[in-house]
Amino acid sequence: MKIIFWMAVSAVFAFLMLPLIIVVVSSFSEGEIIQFPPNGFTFRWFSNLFGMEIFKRALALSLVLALSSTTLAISTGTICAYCLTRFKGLPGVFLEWFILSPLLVPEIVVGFSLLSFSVRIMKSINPFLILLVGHTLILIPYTTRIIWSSLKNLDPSLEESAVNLGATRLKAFLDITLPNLKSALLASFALDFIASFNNVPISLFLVNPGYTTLPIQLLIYSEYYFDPTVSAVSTVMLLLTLILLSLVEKGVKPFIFISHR
Amino acid sequence: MRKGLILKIFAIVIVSFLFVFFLLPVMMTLLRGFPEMSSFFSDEFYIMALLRTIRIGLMVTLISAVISYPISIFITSLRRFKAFFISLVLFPLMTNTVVRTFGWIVILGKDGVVNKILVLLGFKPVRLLYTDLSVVVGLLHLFLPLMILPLVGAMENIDEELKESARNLGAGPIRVFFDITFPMSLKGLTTGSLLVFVGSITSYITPKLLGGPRLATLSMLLYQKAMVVMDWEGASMVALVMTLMTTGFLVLSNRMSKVVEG
Repeated sequence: MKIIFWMAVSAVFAFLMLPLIIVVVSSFSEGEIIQFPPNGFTFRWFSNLFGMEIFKRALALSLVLALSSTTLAISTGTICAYCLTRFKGLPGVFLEWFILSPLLVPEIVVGFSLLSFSVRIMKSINPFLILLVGHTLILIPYTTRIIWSSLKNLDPSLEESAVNLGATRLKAFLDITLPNLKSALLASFALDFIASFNNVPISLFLVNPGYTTLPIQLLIYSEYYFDPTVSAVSTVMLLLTLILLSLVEKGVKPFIFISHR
Repeated sequence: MRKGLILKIFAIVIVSFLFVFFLLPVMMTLLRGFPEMSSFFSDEFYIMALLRTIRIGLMVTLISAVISYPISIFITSLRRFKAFFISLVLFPLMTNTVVRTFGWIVILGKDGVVNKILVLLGFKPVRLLYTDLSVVVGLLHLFLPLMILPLVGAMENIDEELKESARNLGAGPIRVFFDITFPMSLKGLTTGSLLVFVGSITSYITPKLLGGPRLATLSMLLYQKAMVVMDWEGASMVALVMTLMTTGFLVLSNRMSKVVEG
């Protein structure tokens, strides 16, 4: 009985980790196609990757996009969370429903709707801007939830006392409330960045020639070549995710981020 | 007073942003899809895709529920390395879908890891990639963490003394599981099932890369209609069906979890 239990547990962990390990290992393989077990050891796919203009551009776009949508989502999310703790009654309920509503619609539907909206209504919108709007849009509900749950635990009378002692509202917010949100903000930053950087369903519809994000570029490339460059790009993406994830403190529940499928 | 006003202005700006770039575009899509609904349900091709999507979603949900229990019990029972194992479960969730799917192509492909082992053992290689099975495996890998984490959350709330007294009264581990752990983790199970099911029926990359072009799901139809054949009415129709399904399940499960909670 015990043995079966332990075998089941190890099998599940192996199942979760195996594909990722295989991708990483195969990026060092010398063969022309992705294979496991790898033969030989080489860094040539990585140097190949950083010599390719399409991947360099896609990486740059993804980084800029992730950074700007994260910044926008965190500022918006902080304000939303602040409003949600202060607004009582109907306005509060309305605001909560509105902010969290993007969670109810499949992302692929949001992506398609934004595409059709931007083509029909906006006619010509800057290709970067529409990507930014799409990414920010889906990050707002998650960000608001994380910051909101941290803000709920904070006594509003702290800020009130600062105001009573002569601080301005803004100064009270910046000096008292904001420092207390540090771990929530850090977690939001890391998780937003990961979610935007890895996003597929929104980007899928909104990328343009010259404005292609890294995951989509990888997808396009892999349709023609399935060589270890694909693994090398994947390894770079995994590494970035790992670094960002290490910023998140314990106790934050990142699994409310079910985005970027 | 001034602060209240500034906050209200901010709130109005954010609500307007979400209205213009989320609610309005999505509503337009859904409304455009509405008149096409009758052609969806009269076309066998669409019905097949719908049924395949639901079937795959149900299989993934069911299997993930079964294999999540042992691991959730294991993680809940830990003291010192709990955070480590939770992040081990979490990490795949944070990685890119495309990357994870590539891993499965290497494992399940024609000359993949599984087939290499089979040949080594003297068996004939089997076709795994581009079947429903490989889609289910890929989705299982994608969404297993979303089943494990709510289950762990629910199990952490079970009083350890309850299980202890059951054991003292002579209950074996199986009895403890079915009389205590399972019924008291139902809330986590419903949350997890919902996340896994909705995730499975709306995912695009996994069925596209592991299922191949012949096995269409709703999300693949949506993409094909929108980006390949440029039939935006048809795409809107598929989008409407998908949205109705996911929203329907979200509302339903909200009811269900209330029933489970009592």
